[in-house]
Amino acid sequence: MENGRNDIVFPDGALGPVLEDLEKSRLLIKKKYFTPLTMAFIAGAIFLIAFLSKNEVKWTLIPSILSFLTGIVYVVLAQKPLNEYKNAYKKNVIKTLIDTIHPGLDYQPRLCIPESRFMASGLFTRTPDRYRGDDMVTGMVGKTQISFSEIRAQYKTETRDSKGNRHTQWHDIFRGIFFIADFNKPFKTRTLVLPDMAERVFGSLFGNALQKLNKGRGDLIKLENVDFEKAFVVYGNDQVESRYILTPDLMERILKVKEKTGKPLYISFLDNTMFVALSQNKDLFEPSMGKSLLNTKPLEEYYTILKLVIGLVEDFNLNTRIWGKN
Amino acid sequence: MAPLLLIGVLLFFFLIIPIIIYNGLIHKRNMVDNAFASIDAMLKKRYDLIPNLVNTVKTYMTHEKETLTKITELRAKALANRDPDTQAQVDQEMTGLMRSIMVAVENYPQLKANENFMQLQASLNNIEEQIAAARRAYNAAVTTYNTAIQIFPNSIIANMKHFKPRELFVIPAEERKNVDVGSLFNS
Repeated sequence: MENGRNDIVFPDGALGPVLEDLEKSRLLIKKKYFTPLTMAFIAGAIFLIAFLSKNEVKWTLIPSILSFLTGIVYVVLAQKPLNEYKNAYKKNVIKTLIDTIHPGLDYQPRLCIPESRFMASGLFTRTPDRYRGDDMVTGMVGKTQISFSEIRAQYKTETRDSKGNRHTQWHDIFRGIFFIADFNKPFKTRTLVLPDMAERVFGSLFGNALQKLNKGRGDLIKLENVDFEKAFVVYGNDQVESRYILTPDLMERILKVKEKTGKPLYISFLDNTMFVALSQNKDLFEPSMGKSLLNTKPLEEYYTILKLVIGLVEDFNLNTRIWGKN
Repeated sequence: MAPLLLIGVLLFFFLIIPIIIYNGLIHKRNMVDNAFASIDAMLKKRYDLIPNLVNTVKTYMTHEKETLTKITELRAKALANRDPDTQAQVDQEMTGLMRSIMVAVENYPQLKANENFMQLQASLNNIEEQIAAARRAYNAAVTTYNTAIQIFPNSIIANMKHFKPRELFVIPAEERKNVDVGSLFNS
């Protein structure tokens, strides 16, 4: 367990009373809305089954409909307190975590990195059919301007079954945290650092041939760091400038971050800016409804992730500004 | 039909494939030359900055007169003789001298605070990074080219057409380490 983390979260730290209050509202919402709505749906289902069963009981149709309607009314009624509960969690808990890691950063729970910036990074070529996100953080870490948020970008496919019914399926283009920082060196061209799928799947000889075919992303840049080459494939428009950005030092640093996250990592350099996409497989920074808030496990996870993302500035050494860009 | 097919196969093996290999080798050799040209361009940029640097620091740096003279001489030598060997040799010496100057700056607080100097320092740091990058790009191109002329069957064509392996640029030991340049200058 990391030092100090427990102090902040529970039980003596600043968040202790806040979490206790929120836990009370969670239980209240559960009692006032969730329990009745569950019961209403169960009752509705029982009446409906009775109505549809072999020895059908005709009079159960009306109570069934009434029960379902009651359930729906509760679902609608629960929305407002549920939103308030979520907002309070974000405003009081997540904001405190961010402040603890780096005071002075601005946190907007409902905003996200705009789709235009996401696409401008050049990391993902497919245009999303659905683009959502929240939990946006912006501000300065040392001399470096950063912003990041949660993003989920998806595309859809439609299939028709034998009866001619249409089925829509949604697939993730990217789900996770999208991080943008002002890079510490001036540059003009584009460099992409992508997880190396081809080399891992097909081995170095055939994989290399595949990588070269990917012309739309730029020329293949072969770097001298063997571990880095195994983990990533690099494309760029300028052999020298890509190496100017990806120094031996930065390659080592990127490898370390990859190890820390243990998830696919996408990085691009464009317009004097560094874009980092950190994949995640679930929604972050949300309060749970089913589990007690006093169980601090998810909170510890959020803290670790926030610390890692804000720490990218240090990890990538972005505050060293000796190359003529302040 | 059979003789036609035979001619086709022979043409393929003795004309088309060699042409493809030969063109590939030419392409890789040009990449090497191109990469060298970019090192040369970066080095030129550094030489352009040197008179400025010497002028700015000479009034402050009384103990490093000799190093500064040496830098000026090296610059003149490099500009007079632009063949790859001289460039490589001068570059190595120059990199070392520049480094020692930048470290010596620590002893001159007034110089460190001089705005003109700070700008120059940033430009020089930048160019040093670009030179390092250009050297690595050159070495990558040379490695690809050397491998290409050594593997079979390319080696047959390479021998016939006198493709010679190229030397790698020596990368100073300091650059291979992960130095935190910031700690040198920012303290």
